[in-house]
Amino acid sequence: MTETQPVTFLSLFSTDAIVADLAADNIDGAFDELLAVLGKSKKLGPTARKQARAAFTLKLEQGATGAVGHSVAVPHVKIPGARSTVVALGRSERGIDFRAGDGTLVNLCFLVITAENKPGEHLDFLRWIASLARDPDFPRFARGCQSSAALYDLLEEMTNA
Amino acid sequence: MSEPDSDSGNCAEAEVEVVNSQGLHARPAHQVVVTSNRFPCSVFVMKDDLEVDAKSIMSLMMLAAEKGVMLKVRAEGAQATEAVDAVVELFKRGFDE
Repeated sequence: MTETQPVTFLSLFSTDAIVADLAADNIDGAFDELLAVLGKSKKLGPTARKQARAAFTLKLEQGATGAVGHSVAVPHVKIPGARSTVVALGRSERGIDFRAGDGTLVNLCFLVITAENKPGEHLDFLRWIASLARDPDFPRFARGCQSSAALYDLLEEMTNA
Repeated sequence: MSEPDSDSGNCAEAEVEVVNSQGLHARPAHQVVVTSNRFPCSVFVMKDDLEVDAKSIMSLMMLAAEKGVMLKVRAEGAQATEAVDAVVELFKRGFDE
């Protein structure tokens, strides 16, 4: 990963694909809510959303929820309809049970959709998320963000810290 | 890939290759954590000069290990050899992907 990549990953986010207070109270609901946001923000078309939904259902059947601990989940699917990486971020104040290994409820959910032929990009994105989330300030501050703009600003601040 | 190549006292280590096409993403990392947690010893995975705790998904994600990358699995403490064997086996199977 080059030193410029953190900025590149930040550029994947926009306030119209960040949900400050997810209504969902379960894994499927959170995924669908964030998928709908990607549709409204014109980041993902209907065919790609159907592919993403099917791929995630398969992943859930295999036991992969995307929970990575520290109250963070990164559900990820690869689909043929994606030309580039698309992301959405949702914050849940009450927390959602993603069956995390560390037993924490998920307050921050990063939905990541990538093209099937770019596995390395997804791994670099996971490393970027991990580098943010391992800082105890990040999940703590994120839980206090009341708006999409505040969450985006936090991502920007923590990326540049 | 190789069998555990050293076991000094309560330490063991081995080299493995990431063979699954999608690399060490969240689901394989979870399997490494679950497997490592079956043992009382400390378990680590190393890529180049970065060594991380094999009992933390977040730490394993820091490796961003793609297919073809060589990693070192190391354990210290009781059942170190068994822990390294078990983690190496996961990699060898390509995490059943």
